[in-house]
Amino acid sequence: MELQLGLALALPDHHSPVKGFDMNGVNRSVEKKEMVGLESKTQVGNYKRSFDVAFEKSSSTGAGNESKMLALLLWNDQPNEEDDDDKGRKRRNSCRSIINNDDGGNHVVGWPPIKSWRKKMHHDHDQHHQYYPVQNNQMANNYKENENDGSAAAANNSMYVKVKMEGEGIVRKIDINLHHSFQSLRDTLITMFSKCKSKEGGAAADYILIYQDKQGDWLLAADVPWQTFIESVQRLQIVRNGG
Amino acid sequence: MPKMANSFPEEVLEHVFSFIQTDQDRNSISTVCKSWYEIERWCRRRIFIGNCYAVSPRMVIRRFPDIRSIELKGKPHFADFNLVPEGWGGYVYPWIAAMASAYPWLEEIKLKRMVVTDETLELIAKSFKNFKLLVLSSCEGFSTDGLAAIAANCRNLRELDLHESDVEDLSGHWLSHFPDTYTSLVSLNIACLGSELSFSALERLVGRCPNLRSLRLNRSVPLDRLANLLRQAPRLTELGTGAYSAELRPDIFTILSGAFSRCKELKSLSGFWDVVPPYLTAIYSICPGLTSLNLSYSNIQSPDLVKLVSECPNLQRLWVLDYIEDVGLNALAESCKDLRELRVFPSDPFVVEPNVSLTEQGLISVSEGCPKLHSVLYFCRQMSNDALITIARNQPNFTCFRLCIIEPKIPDYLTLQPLDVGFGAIVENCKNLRRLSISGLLTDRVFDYIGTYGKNLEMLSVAFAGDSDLGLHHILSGCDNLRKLEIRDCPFGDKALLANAAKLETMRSLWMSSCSVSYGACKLLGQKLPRLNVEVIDERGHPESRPENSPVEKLYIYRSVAGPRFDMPGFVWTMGKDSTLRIT
Repeated sequence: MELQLGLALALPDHHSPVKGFDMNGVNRSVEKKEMVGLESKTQVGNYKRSFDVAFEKSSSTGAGNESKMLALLLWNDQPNEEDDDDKGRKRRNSCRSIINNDDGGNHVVGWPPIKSWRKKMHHDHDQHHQYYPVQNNQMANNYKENENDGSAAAANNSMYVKVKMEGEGIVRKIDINLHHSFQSLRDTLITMFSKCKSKEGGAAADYILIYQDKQGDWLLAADVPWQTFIESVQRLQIVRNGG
Repeated sequence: MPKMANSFPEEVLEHVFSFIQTDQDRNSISTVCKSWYEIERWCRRRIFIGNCYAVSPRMVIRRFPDIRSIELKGKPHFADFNLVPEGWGGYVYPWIAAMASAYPWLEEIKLKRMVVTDETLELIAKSFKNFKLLVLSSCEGFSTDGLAAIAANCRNLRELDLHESDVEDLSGHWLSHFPDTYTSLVSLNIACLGSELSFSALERLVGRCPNLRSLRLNRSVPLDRLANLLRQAPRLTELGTGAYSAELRPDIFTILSGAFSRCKELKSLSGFWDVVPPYLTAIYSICPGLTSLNLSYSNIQSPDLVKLVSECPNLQRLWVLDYIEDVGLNALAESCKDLRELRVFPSDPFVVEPNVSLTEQGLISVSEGCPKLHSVLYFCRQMSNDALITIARNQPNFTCFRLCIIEPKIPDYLTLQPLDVGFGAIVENCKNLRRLSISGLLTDRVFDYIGTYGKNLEMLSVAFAGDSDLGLHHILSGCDNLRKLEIRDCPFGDKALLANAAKLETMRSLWMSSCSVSYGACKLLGQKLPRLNVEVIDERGHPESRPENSPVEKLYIYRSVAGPRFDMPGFVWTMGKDSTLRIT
């Protein structure tokens, strides 16, 4: 406590920061205007003396002896005219939170205020969204707009490739960009085709994953690094091992 | 009074105190006299700490030796929107480490916006013998390995809730770490997990926990698995589905709707990712019993939403994307007379052009049709003063009103005037308003209204508003009960802050980012108000390297009895005695 008090008493020596915001100007106009006073609450009683010392000049003007709030600066009802230049400059400075983000647009960071977790969900929505109208033809008109939005966003964020599984009639699509390793891709594919897998009684290990690259060649997926794979993959096929 | 109190044996008072539950009342008791303070502190079993840096674990343990339940919050609210740089703090480990030895009988830990490591979870798992409840809300820093430790060791765990946490998904097999003898689960929320779960482990777990009431699954759980799970847990009151899609097959539909219809106690539904609309009718049988519906992750479109809410006459809470559109909100207003809380989130927040027909009209309808409505979060693209005035007159019971007009600084679209009068009507009419978020074009005038009428306001969020310090002065000098104030991109500066410095000691916290507060003012505040931690957050480097009067990037001020924190990263500086010490 004593150490703190000692430091507080020494504060007038560190008075320099105050000059930065034109306190003297405010003090001079104090007499004419309504003000919030300087009396501190009892809870800061220990420091009261240091405040008095620090604000000797304003106290001597007889300000606010009834007020319950401590003020480090006196509030005068009208914003100071002489502040205006300064403020204008600050306001221009304050438009700092606008930056370019990954989506390529000019977005304000953190605006609109949506939880990042929800944004992640939203991002996923875009990719799944397009299925909604497809499976709900009678409402197609209603959804046309949204569908367009969805695929525009999908073009930026996702890469759908067709997947065919040997012995399965339906070709499916999968968003490669949702995956970061062969493991997760393989897991997703296993789930996607799990029904036919169990039908034929085979285990995941009985199948291998091959892909078609930009030259049209079919290659073993696991033979190349993941990065190479996602840069060149055009189609996927799951074939029975040795089949 | 003190004499009378002393005439009671301590045991009697302790018993009386045990009936007093709310934190506020307990705090009041402890200020009556020294003996009440003593008795109360020995029998306090639960504490809430709204800011983990406002007090140290040591101080809490010294005063309350026998705590069973603790709730702790870490980062500022704006962290939800990425405004708090990564690595800022909010680490729970020191708390757990201190409590591990002090509170071996701790049963409940609820954390919000904190950094929780796997090491922390392992420590929890092995330290508290009768541990029952773990809620990690918007937390980060841990993986499924940490969850596996909890699953493996907490034999009496009743609730595990990972509400919107950012979990590193290493493996879906952590669920299989719940031992076969474990049967005490009541509530499980794993909706935030990204990876696939081990379905067999999940099904076995659900099957052997007879008291399971709340189950919120993640997106990886397919619809056909859901029916299986429901059949094993017919007494669920709360369900979060996984992906609500499957190929259209009558047998799947029959099984699913049969499973739902047997869950007669269901009150709350969420999830519904990737909905295939024809399957929605499978839940219709239980819709009359529903009180809460969270469709805010669901792509269900307006026509289906209209049908769905019309089936739910007893709905009290609806969270939904703006796909509901005005027409859906009209239907809601007509069908759901018991509605208390409505949240409408944007489906495509980053485009200015509307992708759906959702306007101020939808909110007007609900405010007219739902007399019990008291809490609203509403994202939209246009608003008018007239609309806000109508809403305020319709609904003087609002306790929470958060309106986000997506484009900043957009005026009343009819008159092109600021929305001051509209928000003024909200604060004037809604006397019990405790939480308010404002947006759109706003001048200092709106803060005059807020300061004049917002006497019960506890939390206020402001963005892109006001003209001068006067705005902030109105808030700080007028809102007597304000506890949390968060401001971004407003031209508020030193004058208002310094003139109302003592107000800050009565509040939990103040956040200001991209405003006009100078480094010099921050230093002064820190030096003069020893009970406040004044933290400057600036990723451009040390503020000393810039002129004293240049504005700081971000400012977070909170009261603390623990003094400056010790875990600040390189881009955070605490103003005040410490910096003086360093200089001398």
